[in-house]
Amino acid sequence: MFSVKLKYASIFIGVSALAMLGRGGDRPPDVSLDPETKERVERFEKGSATIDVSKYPEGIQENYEVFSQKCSQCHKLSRPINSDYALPAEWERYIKRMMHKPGSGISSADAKKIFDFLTYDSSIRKKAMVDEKLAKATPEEKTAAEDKIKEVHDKYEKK
Amino acid sequence: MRWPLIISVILLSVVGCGPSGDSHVSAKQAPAKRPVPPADPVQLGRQVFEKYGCVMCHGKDAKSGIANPNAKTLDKVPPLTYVADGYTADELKKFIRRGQPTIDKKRADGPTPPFRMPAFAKWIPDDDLDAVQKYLFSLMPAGEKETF
Repeated sequence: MFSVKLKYASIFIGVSALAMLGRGGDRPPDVSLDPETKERVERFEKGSATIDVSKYPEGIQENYEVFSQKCSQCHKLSRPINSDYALPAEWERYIKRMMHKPGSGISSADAKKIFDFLTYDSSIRKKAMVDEKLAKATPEEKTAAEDKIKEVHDKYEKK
Repeated sequence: MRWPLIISVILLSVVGCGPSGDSHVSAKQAPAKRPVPPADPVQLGRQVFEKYGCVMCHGKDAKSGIANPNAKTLDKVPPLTYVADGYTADELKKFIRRGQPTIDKKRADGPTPPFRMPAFAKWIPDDDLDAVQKYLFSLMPAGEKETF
């Protein structure tokens, strides 16, 4: 008899607890990607998924292969190719963000090759965007970006 | 069938037995002291990290996330020890506000990973967001920050 009563009591307490938890339903529902980001990513992905690297230095062409192989494991290549990232500091953060994801398969050496490729490519193919961003950058950011772009060009073009 | 009623009465009685129910005692007691938030923004951020439940998924000190089957990040919620390497302060705060409503699958034909990051924009005030950002940036292992 006691166990039956205990059972009812347990059910009652359980239901009460669930009802209290249910007050969490006042929380707003999770939003999906905000419209701005969603539109941005979709716009990037509609663009070309390849780059003509035939006129780039040999080392940069090799790095393009690393970029294509590693980055396509998780997203369309058209996303970074058409993205509005263009400055070395932007690429560095973006690549490191990907590299540090568990299971990315991107080593530090791979990441540097991808960085060199994207920095070089942006300085050629997205030159107008780079110039526009540099015009808005602080003097320190501008100097750092220009130095890094020059360093990458010197590294591959002098070979 | 009267048990629910009896238990409800007992529960209400228990709730009614709080300190405020005894005015004689409470008049003599000093007012309860509220904990003083730490002055150090990193320590404050650690508290914020726990207060909003970030620790529940990303683990103690954000070093190891809990299992999230079929998540591309090795079936786990990712650790956050390297966020200082991949985000500016503003980018990280924007990410926390927005959350991550969809988690990439490891196997496309597998189940949807059960855990995703909610958008904290409506819950977390700017002060707490600043603090948790500073805390997360402090987790970057010394000497591991690379410059490309």
